Amino acid sequence: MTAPARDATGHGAAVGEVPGDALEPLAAAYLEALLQGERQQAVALVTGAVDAGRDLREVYESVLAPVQREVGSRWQHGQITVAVEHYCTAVTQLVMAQLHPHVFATPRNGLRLVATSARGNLHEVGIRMVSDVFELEGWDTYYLGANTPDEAVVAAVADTAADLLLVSATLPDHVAAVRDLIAAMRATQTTRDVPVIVGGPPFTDITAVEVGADAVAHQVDDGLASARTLVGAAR
Amino acid sequence: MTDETGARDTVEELMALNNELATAQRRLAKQNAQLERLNDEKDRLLGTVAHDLRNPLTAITGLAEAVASGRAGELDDAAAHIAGRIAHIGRRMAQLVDELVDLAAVASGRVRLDLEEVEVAAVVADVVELLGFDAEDKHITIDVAVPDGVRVRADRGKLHQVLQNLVDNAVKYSPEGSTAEVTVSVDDGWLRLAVADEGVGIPADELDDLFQPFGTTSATTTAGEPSTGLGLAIVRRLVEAHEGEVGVASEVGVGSTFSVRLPLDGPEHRAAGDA
Repeated sequence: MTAPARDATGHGAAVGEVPGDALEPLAAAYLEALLQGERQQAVALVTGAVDAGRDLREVYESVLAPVQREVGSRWQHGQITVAVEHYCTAVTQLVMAQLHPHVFATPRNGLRLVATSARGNLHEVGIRMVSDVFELEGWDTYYLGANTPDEAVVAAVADTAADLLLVSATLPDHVAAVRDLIAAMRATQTTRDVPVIVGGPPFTDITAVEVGADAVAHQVDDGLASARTLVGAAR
Repeated sequence: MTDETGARDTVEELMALNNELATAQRRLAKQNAQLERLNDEKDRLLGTVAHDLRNPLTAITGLAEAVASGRAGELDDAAAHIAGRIAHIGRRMAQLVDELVDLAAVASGRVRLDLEEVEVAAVVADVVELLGFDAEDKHITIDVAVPDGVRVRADRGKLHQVLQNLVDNAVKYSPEGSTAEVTVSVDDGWLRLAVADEGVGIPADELDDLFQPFGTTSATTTAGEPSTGLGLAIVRRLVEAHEGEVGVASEVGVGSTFSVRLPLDGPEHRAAGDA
């Protein structure tokens, strides 16, 4: 199996590299529950913290994202099996599902985006987290998954009158698929001017330009700042 | 294919399926949130519309009543009759607006219950006094059988609304000179409240729809009183908000008995205990 270039989260949600022993207490407890296979306990730890008033965005950025990065790192270094890594990701997706009623209840800012993952990218939990954080910031976000054909993504951008498209990739192999998608966006009258932000380990400022993106985001904050600039410019 | 390759493929297939499920779940959660926002918008709109309709209706009804009664000057019988009809229709429209607002609030699931210990006999007495004039107009006797000291943990105003709807129906659908009866009893932690009439009765095949909004019935009021078709739907939803039940037994030409069961200790107790 080819290891992801960086981690299991795609392009990381918000914070820098956090080694396992530097995780904050809730994140460390969550990771421990995941690795012990204690699904219910893991879910309850995070949802309980949110119910107790913990800030949602902080939970994404300080708990879920760093733990997923740590899980990916441990797999990369052969410390856990791929099955365990996938189990951890599935539980994190379950946690996110339980948080969604809170995420989607936040006030809207009138902006919309479509998010998708490069074709064949199984490690898409990162872009899901990014989408959720944008949602928390008031954007109406529509995450389409990794198996959506380019024409369907373009149609979704047009149908939702999206102000922005976010695309993530995990491996260098995915870059060509992102280039094709952006080309399809530019070839369509209704979506040609919609800004595109790419993210993920394969992308640098240079490769982002090469695939036709308007910006690259390495952190969620970068993405939010670029999004505001690009959407403001496009309006 | 080696065992290792096969296992890897299986894991990846499962992960892809899990991703699809997560995507579908996210889409549903998003749609649900959008529907809730739309529902809130609808409630706000309904509240505004109701307010804007209710105020002029009150004025129209009041003025028409003044005209019909001759307080605004002498009228011949035909003109007085027309003014009376205007007032009657205005009252009916106002009632419809009130009930639509009630139903919208109840249906949205945002019924706020202000729970307290309610003396049931006092609520029954209030309702019977309130509807006493209507009953007197039709020479209907309202008998009351309420044991002393029965209390229920409930929202006093909503319990009043439930009972008022049921007694109002009993009066509307009963012939002149008949008797309606309100009885209260307690059984194994439940309050049972029943309103029986000697009215026109409801065919058996219509009973299922009776508690639905705008549920249709062939039964008609006996003196042309208005009925919006919303009262029993509101009753059901208010009772269910208390985690209680509604029921009806009826025989055409004999009468109907509407009953309500409420947990004596209130909905919170049941939610935490024996619900």
